Amino acid sequence: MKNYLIRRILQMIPLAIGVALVTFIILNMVGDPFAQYALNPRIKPEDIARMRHAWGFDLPIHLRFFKWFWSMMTGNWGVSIFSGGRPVGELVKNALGWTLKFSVLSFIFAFIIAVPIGIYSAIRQYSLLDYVFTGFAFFGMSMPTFWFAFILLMIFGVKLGWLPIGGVMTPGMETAPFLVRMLDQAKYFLLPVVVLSLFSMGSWMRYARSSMLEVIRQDYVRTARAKGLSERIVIYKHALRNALIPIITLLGLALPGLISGAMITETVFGIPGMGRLTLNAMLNNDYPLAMVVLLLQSYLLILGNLFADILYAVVDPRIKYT
Amino acid sequence: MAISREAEGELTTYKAESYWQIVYRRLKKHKLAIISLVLLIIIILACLVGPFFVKYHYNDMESFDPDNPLVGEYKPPSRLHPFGTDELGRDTLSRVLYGGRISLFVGFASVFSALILGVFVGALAGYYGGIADTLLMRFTDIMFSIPVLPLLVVLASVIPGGGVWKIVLVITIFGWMTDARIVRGVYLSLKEQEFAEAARAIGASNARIIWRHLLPNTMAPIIVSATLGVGGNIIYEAALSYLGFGIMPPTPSWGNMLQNAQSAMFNAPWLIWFPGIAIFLTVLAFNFLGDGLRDALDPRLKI
Repeated sequence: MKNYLIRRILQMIPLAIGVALVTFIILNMVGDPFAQYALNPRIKPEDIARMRHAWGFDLPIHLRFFKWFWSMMTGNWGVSIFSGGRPVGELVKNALGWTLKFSVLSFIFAFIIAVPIGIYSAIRQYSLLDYVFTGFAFFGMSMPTFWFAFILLMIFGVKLGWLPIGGVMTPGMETAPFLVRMLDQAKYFLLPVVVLSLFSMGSWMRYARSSMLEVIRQDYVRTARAKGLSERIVIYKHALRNALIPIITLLGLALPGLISGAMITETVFGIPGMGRLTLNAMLNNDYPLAMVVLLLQSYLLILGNLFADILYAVVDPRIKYT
Repeated sequence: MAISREAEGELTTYKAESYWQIVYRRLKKHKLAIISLVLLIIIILACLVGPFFVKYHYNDMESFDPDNPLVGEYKPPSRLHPFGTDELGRDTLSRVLYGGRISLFVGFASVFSALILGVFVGALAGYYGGIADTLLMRFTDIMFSIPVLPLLVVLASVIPGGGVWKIVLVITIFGWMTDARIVRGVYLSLKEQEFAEAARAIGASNARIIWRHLLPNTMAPIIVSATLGVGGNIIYEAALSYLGFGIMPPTPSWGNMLQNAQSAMFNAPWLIWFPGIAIFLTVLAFNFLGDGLRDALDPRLKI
């Protein structure tokens, strides 16, 4: 296990550098972010040159990559070009605060609904409810998120007028008493959380279902039945615990999604989270910010995969990594 | 001794089914997959043939009357315009049908080109192994670790033009990795087997073994991934279009018809419903069909 861990971590290093390089190359294709300043006659060329120097744009591209990668690794994330010169770290911190609220809520919501339903569908395979839940899962996986968000907004926001049609809180609520503020937030959170959890709910349902089906077919489950254990004990003690093993690894795989935010959903609902930050950084060619958020997301994905593998080995004693 | 007629009849009933007959028979049992297949055929036919039968061209505006320019805009569904009209007074039905051609084309074409790239990478990595495998698969890992949607947006804004091919290209760049991994896995497990060995022994070239002997074995997982991929790519196109980087207007696609839909929410909900339902039904059908095909093609199941 220890050797496996060390090997995996060592393998992550070239992967991390490769990801940084590819991201850097793609973002460089966008071109010089300072070119748009040159169009403004009121900005002097020497000022532009000074800015280019400040952000390291006067260096050759390979030197710029190493310089940037080094400062990224040492935690010196620099300053955003277009957000009034605010530090990238601060922008990320603010956005992350919002994204985490939404993503953690929808993760919990999706998880506690999807997993029991998936398990139930497997136990009662081909029953009417199994078909209903399967239909629901496919419904969730096939729905374009932003369209689903439109529909919900149209019904609950415009037609019925029960819920706000975007934003994160009613203006002036920051100073309200805690309970009032929470109730206000709940109204804004309901639709985005439903939209965010729909897709993962569908795929986790399917995942839990197939994982349970796999286990139910195993010999030891037949043995448990054959030696006369009650169906309840067979399902909940022998089958379920083994079926949960692959589901637990989902926790690792869901990790990057919690933090990277959802570009589309955040855009529809006007949530100032990581997804919006990423999108705006891309659109404005705000290159220091874009690089940091993209790399953050990539590295969380890599770490999430590692985490999932480790989790798998920890909870399943049959797996021996050498 | 001559074989009697009955015995002959007996023999024909035991005629071995071909692989694809077995697959078809198993797929038929999956009712939702069959319904989806029929639905998809209807949708594709409607998009191909439909534009010839609707009354309005997708870019015709309802009113050219300069004194009363607003007369044809935002008309709710009526007999004249079954799906209503949009902000420029264009017939939504015609645009949904024509946009379907574009969206379906993007879906199929990007799956196809990603497939070619993925099969190529996967086959080379799996067959040759060693340093080629390491390099190609590390590159695949890198591409897998990059957040797709933000970089799709960047690429779509970098590559000039707003045409269909650009979107296909952009989706292809981030769409080939799954296929590459599938193909590599199959090649790794098959290249040392007897039939590959035999082909090598009778002097078949590497290229021939790669493309003629091993490639057909990747068919089953590839078909499933491609079927699911078409639906996924239609959603990608819609998402890109929603963010403003998809197919450029005035050419309609299901995605870019929804681009301005958020403002239509209050006064023209039909502009949201119809293109969205078209996307949803198509993607749903591809997902059901892909699921049915996965079961039908699964070699572990009993024939």
